[in-house]
Amino acid sequence: MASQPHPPDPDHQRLEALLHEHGARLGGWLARYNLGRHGIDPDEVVQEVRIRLWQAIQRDRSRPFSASYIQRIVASTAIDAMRRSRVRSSEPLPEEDEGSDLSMADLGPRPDRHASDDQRMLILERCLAALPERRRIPIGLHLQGFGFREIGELSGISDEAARKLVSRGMDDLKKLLRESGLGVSDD
Amino acid sequence: MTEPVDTAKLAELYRRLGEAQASPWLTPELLASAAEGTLDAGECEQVARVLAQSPRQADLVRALAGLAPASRVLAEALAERQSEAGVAAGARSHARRRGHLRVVAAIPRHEIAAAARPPAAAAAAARAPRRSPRRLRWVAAAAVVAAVVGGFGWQGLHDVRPATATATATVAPAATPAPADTIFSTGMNGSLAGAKADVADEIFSSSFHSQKRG
Repeated sequence: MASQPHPPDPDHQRLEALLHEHGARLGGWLARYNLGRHGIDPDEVVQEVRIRLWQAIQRDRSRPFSASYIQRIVASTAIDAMRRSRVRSSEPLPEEDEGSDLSMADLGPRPDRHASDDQRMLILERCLAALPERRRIPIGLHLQGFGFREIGELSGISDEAARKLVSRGMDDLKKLLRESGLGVSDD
Repeated sequence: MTEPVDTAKLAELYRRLGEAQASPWLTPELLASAAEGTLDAGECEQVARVLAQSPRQADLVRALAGLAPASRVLAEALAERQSEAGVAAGARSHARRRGHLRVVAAIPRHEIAAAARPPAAAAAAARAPRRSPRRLRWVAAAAVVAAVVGGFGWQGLHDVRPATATATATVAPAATPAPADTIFSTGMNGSLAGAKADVADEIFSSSFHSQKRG
């Protein structure tokens, strides 16, 4: 007796629609924070997150899905994608990619500018190493783009304390950079 | 190298420096906690140090922080779907295992029953209305008869119970003459008995007096 094909499960359909809808939002956020510059494809990450969530739901249907759990799945998927991209970037480049539509601007800074930046980076590295770690970490977080509130939360200090540490640290860093011969503007 | 650098340029140089260096990867749990701002005091230093060095992980934490409202919405939608799916599954399980009680909320009972009904039961249920009116009429008639008989029985019980209850409960007031005993008691102590005695006495006394007079 041939088995008849199962009718589509409305519960599965709903779950699929739900993950599709929210996955699109997730992709939007990943694109907004420009994670693509770290060699990951937001669409791939979104697809992988959808699969992992689906699998988690199928494994345990009664499991409560908190926002934190979803965040962990996104983080884990993004980390995996970044690691893969690092491995790919360390592999040898292809001979010639004629179909590439990359412009010169996408290939990074010009060689002369690159050399200049390399020297600046060396000076910056030396000057940062000369700072005490208590100031170096808040400066690092500040240069990574975190705000005072976020720096305070990450460092376990108040916003005001974070602001003072960053402000004083940046003053010290600029002073050291000037002493090393690097022109720094006060902005 | 004479061109002065501003803070934005410093940030760019710093991030390129970080990308060139190898940083340890934080666990997804720590990254998610960092994005939520719920790191333990003991984790702050390690996480801050790594995020200060690694542009990848710093960007990921910022993206996760921005993503938090969307994650909350998705979690709520999943929880809602799960609760509904759980209710339907519970109803199906209830149909399979009779006697197992499960609290059902938010979904009308008839919808759950319809969802839980296997095809055969659904067909039987579809046939049921054709024969139920006749059966229902008999059941209703029997219920009316039972109610009437029961009502009479109850009425009878209700009438008997107070007297018995008074007799057993109030023994002392029996000493007080009841209205029915009034005639008897009146006869014993009242004017009627006295009148008869008076009549007899009158005859006796009159004959006595007459004999005496005589």
